[in-house]
Amino acid sequence: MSTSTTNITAAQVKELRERSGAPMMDCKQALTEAKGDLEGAMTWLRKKGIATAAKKSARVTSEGSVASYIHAGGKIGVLVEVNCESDFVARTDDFKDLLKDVAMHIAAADPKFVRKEDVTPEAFEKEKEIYRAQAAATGKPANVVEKIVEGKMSKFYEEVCLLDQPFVKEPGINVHQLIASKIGKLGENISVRRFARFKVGDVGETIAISNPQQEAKAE
Amino acid sequence: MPYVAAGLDEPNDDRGDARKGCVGSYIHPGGKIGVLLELSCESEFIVRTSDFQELLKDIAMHIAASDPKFIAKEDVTPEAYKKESEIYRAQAAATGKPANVVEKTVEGKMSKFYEEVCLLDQPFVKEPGITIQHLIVSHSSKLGENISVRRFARFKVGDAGETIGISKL
Repeated sequence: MSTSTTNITAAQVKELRERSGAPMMDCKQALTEAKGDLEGAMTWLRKKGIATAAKKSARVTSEGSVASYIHAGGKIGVLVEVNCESDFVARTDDFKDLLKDVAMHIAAADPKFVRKEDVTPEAFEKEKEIYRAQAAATGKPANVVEKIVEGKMSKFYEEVCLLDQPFVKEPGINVHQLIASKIGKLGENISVRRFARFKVGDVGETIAISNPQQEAKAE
Repeated sequence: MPYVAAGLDEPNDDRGDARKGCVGSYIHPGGKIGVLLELSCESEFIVRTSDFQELLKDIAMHIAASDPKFIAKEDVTPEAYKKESEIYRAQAAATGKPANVVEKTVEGKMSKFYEEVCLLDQPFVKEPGITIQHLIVSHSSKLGENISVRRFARFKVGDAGETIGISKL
């Protein structure tokens, strides 16, 4: 019995079902009421008291550990979460050392993102435009200007992305390589999930969140 | 003003830079929950007192346990507030009670909402008779300086969402 409302796909129902934990038919009805909008459907379910809140969306999907580093008597603080595949690895000294090193590195090197992939297109474009304008002002031909911009932008990642930054305790390798060496040693995929960095008196704080699902498995 | 005349940017007002304070953290045993917290005060001297350091540790631990979403009532976004009250209203309306009773029910639920999601309104986990606001005020008067929660971050391993609370300057 098809109605005149929006068509709801099975994938949408499935997604809402996973997020809300509500029965299939309720999910379908909620989506129909909300005209296919997932957020609207969630709200509808909650209003009806069907959804078991947002609890299921927050379920534990990976193992790992949270660590902190407080620098200089509390002037800079870092909180970092690193994920691995089993709790067994999370308990090893190697893993704990890695966490401590990464937290300390973040305090010192002040990265703005976890990985290249996390750099917002806006931040990237803004930097690029600045470099392009600078290079263009030298009066060089367009292809040379583009080369210069590319060169500058590769350094941009090195400066703002945690994984591309040279590791402060061992500048010959970057943080990505530091993690890769631990992956090799512990035999499990390890990824930096997120970090927060506060500096007393600083108006801005850094909050960087990465999506581990997209983390490259092959190393 | 000479700055404007010269075409220069006006000097930045340093209202943010004048802040003193300290960043502390709490990692729940096992490393599954971590909290980073910045408290502000007026002088460097206070930061070094054990009272201040203890307060920092207590509040960080409280955040790990109670999972607040905002620092103060004022930080609750109108959207978050409206959404919650709409949900409560729909739930109350479904009972078939008259409109004024429904509104009373919603108000009651929403006052609890602040208690549940705002750090300053939450009962202190180590001493549920007082709120975090009370705890801070008692330390403020003891130390003779204003103390306030500047910002916090709370991560839980595997949890999709993280809580970042930042108070308005």
